[in-house]
Order: sequence, then C-alpha cells, then structure tokens
Amino acid sequence: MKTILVVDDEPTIRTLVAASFDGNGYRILEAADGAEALDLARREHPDLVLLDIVIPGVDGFEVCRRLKTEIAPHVPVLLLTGFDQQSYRERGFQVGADGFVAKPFSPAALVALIDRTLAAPAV
Amino acid sequence: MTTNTRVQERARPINSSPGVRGHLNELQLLRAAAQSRALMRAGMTVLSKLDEEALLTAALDAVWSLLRADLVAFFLTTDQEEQPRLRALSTPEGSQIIQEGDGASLSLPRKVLASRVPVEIDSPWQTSAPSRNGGTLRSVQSVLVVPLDVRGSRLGALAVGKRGSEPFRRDHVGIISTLAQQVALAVDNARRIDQARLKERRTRDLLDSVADALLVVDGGLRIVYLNQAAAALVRQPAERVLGRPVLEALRLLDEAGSSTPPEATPFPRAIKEGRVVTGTAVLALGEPASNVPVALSVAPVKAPDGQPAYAVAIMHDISREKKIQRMKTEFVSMASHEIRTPLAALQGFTELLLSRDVPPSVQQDWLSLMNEESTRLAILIEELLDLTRMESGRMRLRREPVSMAEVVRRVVALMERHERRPRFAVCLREDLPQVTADPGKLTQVLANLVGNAVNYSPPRSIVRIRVQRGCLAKPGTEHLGPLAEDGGVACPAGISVSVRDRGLGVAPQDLRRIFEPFYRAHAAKAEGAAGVGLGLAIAKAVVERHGGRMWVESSPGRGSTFGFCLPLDERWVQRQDGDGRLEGKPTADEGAVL
Repeated sequence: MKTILVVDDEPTIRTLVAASFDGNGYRILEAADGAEALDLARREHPDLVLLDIVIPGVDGFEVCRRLKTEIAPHVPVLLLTGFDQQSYRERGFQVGADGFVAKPFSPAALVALIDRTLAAPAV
Repeated sequence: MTTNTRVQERARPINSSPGVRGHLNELQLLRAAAQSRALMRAGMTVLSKLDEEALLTAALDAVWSLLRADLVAFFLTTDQEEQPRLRALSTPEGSQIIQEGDGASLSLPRKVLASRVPVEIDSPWQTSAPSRNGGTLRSVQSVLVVPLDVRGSRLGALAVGKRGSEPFRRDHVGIISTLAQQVALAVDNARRIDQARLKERRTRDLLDSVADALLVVDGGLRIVYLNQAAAALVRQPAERVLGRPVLEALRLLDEAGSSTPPEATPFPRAIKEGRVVTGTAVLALGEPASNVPVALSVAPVKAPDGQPAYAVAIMHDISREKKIQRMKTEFVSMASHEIRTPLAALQGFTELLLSRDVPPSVQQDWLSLMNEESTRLAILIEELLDLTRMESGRMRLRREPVSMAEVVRRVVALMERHERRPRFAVCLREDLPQVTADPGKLTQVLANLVGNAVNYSPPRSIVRIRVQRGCLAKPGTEHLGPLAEDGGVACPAGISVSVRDRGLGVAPQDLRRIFEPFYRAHAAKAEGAAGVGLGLAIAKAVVERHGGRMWVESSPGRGSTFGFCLPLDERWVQRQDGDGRLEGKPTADEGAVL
C-alpha cells in the first residue's frame, strides 16, 4: 500500500484529502506544520508528499527543498496551494517540486493526478 | 563737532580741469611720470579688489601713500540709505573701516556731498571717531571733497583733509579725482558682484529647497548641477557627482531591474528629440538592495540658437508608491488564498457527497465542516469588504458626539458572555469629553481589541480597559502610521483608550506586522485562535479614518497593551481647556472588577 503524506495547517483540508483517497488503496499520513512534516517524512518514508505552501514554522518551499536535497530526493512532491501565481510556481520548481494542485480542487482529479504521478517511472 | 552751516557757507567749488599752462621742466616731467605710474598702480590695486572693505582699505592706503594727507574719508550710500555715511577713515594714527552702528560721527553737509564737482572747504573740521590709539582726531584746516559717481549713480564722496590752510595743489586735485573715479568704479563693481552672488545664492537656496531631486546635464550629458535632494537620492556628495557623465554617475535600470541601452535613457532622448521625456526607472545604487524606483521627467533647455544645450531632470523617489502597489497585490493574493481554502472544503466535500455513498454519520461530519467553512467564508468576505471600503474612503462614517464610557460599557456587556469567562477592570472618568465619531465603528474597534485580549489570554483572566484624556502610551511607544514603516507618527493627543491583557504577548518582530491584513503572528496561529487576520487591520483603518492613531506595547509571555488615541473635537478642546475641569488623575472605578 502506497503512503501519502498530507501537509496542511487546515484540519478541514487534511480531512478532505484523506476522504478523497478513502477506498482508493492509499495510506494517508497527516502533518499540520513543517517540522512535523519533515519528522514524518524521515520516519515513515512516504511515497508522495502533498504539501501546502503556507504552513506555520518552516514553510512549504523550505520543506520541499529539504525533502528534495536531504531526506527523500526521489519522492514526488506536489505543492497544494491557494496561490496560483506564476511566481509561486517558479519558486516551487526551483526547490524541486514535481507539480501543483490549486485550491479549490476536485477530489477525483486529485486522486487521478496522484495515481498518474506514482505510476510514472521513477527519475 | 562740525560746524555745518559755516562749512556750507564757505565752501567754494574749484575748477577740476588741470589745464597745463607754460612749460614743464625735466624734473617736473619726471615727477609727473612717477606720479602717474604710482597713480596707475594704486588704481589697479583698488580695482582688483572685489570686496568693498578690501577695496576701501586699499583706497585709503593709496591716497595716503600718494598725498600724505592728514585725513582721508570715504562716505558711501547704501541700497537702503541715500544719505552717504562715513565708511572708511584714515589719519596719521592709522586707518579704519567703519561698520554701520560704529557711531563714528564725521559728517559733511549734504549739499557738499551731493555736489557733482570737487569742492574745497577751508574751515576747521574734526571728528569724534576714535582713532586706533584711543585718542580723538585733531581738526584739519582744509578739506577737498570729490564726488564718487559712476555709471550715472551717486555712490558718495571722498574727503581729503590737511592741516595747513593753503589751497590744494592742482596736480593733487587731479590725483584725488582720478582715484575717486576708480574707487567709485570698484565700489560699483563690488556691489554688482555682491548682488549677483546674492541672486545666485537665492536661486541655489530655492533649488535646494525643492523636495524633488533636480539635476542638470549639459549637451555632452555631463552633470553640471544637482540640488540637495538629488545628492541625497543618489547618496553621494554633490562634488563627487558634478562633472561626471550622467549615465555613468547614475545607473538607470528599467522597471524590471535590467539595464537599458544608454541611448534609450531619458537624458540623451530629451536632448536628441528636443522634447520632455517622462517615465519611471530604477536607480541602481550599488547593491541590489539599495535600488530606488524613481519617476523622472527630463526637459531639454534650448540655447539661443534653438539647439538643446542642457537638460533638466526632476526625479521623485517612488519607493513608497511601489510599496503600496506591492502591498495591494499581496493583499489580493492573500485574499484569494484565504477564500480558496474554505471554497476547497465546500467544493471538495460536495463532490464527494454527490459521487459516492457516504454513511450518514460521516455525512453529518462533512456537512458540519462545510457549515463551518461557509460561515468562515461569509465572515471573511464581510471583513474584506469592510477593510477595502474603509481604506478606499468609501465607508461613510456616521459621526456624532460619542461618550467613550458608553462604548466601553457596551463592549464589556458583549464580551462578558464570552466562553472564556473574562473579567474586566475598567478605569475611566464619567466626565471625559465626548469624541465626534461613528459609535458603531468605535464599538467594533474596541470589541476587536478586547476580543483579542480575551482570546489570547487564559480563561477567567482580567482584561484592563482604560480611557483617559491625553495619551496612555508609554514614552517611546510608537504611534503607527498608515504604512507599517511610517512608525513614530505624531499622537493626536486628545483622548486615548487602552486594553491590557496578561496573555501570550507579541514577539518584537511581529509587533508592527500584526496590523497588516492577513498577518497572523506565529504564536496566534500556534494557539489556533480563530479569525482570518483582518481584525486589527480593520481596527487600525477605522481609527485612522477618525483621525486617530493606533499603538501597541507588548512582550512575549507578559501580555500586551493595545491602544488608540483620537483627536478631540475642536469645540471640546476650547470649552474644556478654559476651566481645566477635566484635568487631573482619574478616580472613578480605578481597579474595580466589573
């Protein structure tokens, strides 16, 4: 069973993401801030990280950078964000993000995107 | 003292034309040649001085050395005074320049001074002007007075006196007349130069007082002038910049921060195209961090032949405007982000509920989450509209005389029902002056401050509310301006309200930023306190719309005091300051727990 780490400070969004994957054969881990996310990534070795940018403490960009450089370079990271400006996308790609999910999102489309991402051959 | 009338009566004009009669012998010729050389040298020395005092000193020396006169005096008019006054005096004891108000009282009758031809007076003439060695001048027997005229204007007179009563020698009269002409010319030159200097200094002062940066380049694009504001803008002393090519001294980048080809910058364009070129640019001043965005307009100045000879540039630092623009963009971006989160919950759960069979208990959970999020969205949109209306000035205030005591009572009554069961200590005087304000908006501001105090303090804490004439902020606490970096603006010093809690407190780095829209201090987020981060921004905007100023004092772990000061209505200030009835320490309700 593949493990997805969902990082968002809004419990409602974490619940929604977990509900979206319910019955789709994934294990969902939840973190509410950057430190917790890095800690869980180290201990639980998720297969994919769905990461909000605006989170308390270490922000999403920095969490992504650390995941990609130190903790889990080959694990895909999708940035989940309410900001859909170009500058955010550029910064996201600079720190190694593999893709973006803009809020609001369709749960079915999110599941499909993650299925596809995990099915793609590892780089 | 001078016997004016007598002098006047006995004054006799002399013929100043030194018509040469008979033959001169060789000795006389040699003496005349030596004399004219000496006169020439003396004249040159006098004319070379550009300063009135220096030239008068030189002139006294010249007359003295040429004639060994017992007394030489210069009388000069000024711009303010038509009557010539004694300005320089030379006697065997020494010479002196007389400043206005020195009290020297050597005078000549007005009529003699006004004469256009030399006048010789044979009468005793003395002065009470103190000589250098402290004594008083003895009288002289004969005086020759020569007018100082130049270019049609009367500058005064030169008076030369001697002890003997025999008439002045004709050649001496000639020498004195010639010297007088040269002195008059030199004085006139010096005064014209002074005036030109004064005019130039005035122009310079004027240009330096212009708040915008002003810079002039010549046809070769070299900087020939910059005012103080321009030197401050380019952060270099004017001397370091003057004479340098403008495009080298000021690196102009385009708005994106990339360099512009030299010929495309406004300076060469204004000169080449012969028209005003306006635009915005970025002034590169060393490191990227110190780049300054400027609005500039460059106007060509045409030479008499119609060719652009100079260009005058006005530059205006638009950092503040840019900052406001950036804040607006950020605000829109944050607003859209804040709206998207509850929207994501609403849209996501709706899709899930429609697309699959969900057990009723889970359905209930999701629906209550959706309910919470839609409430949050509604509050958010309400607050967003409030803030934008407030900041754009579209919010109409319904101003009326408001008693702050009444506002405090209303807010306390509202907050006492809060689930954290707060307690309130209110300190105010019932006879405080009223403020002219929108009571609803003021209640909203105070409710926000008190609400924060309650939310960020442990349950059943005491929140202290104080209202007082004057300012309640501690000395050194900054009153905030409309922009966070405006800090330290003046207190309107009318009536102030403070709300003190013993809660979380605010970290120094968050202190100013907590008033920015959507900014929520780290501690507040960690505490999971409700709100979207617009409350303080709205409170601050409301206070500012009332002409007031917000302030905050806090240290983490020891609580915060949020306060605001409002101006008093002019009518109240007049009425209250008269009898001082409202001065003095507050007494009512001190420390009472309601």
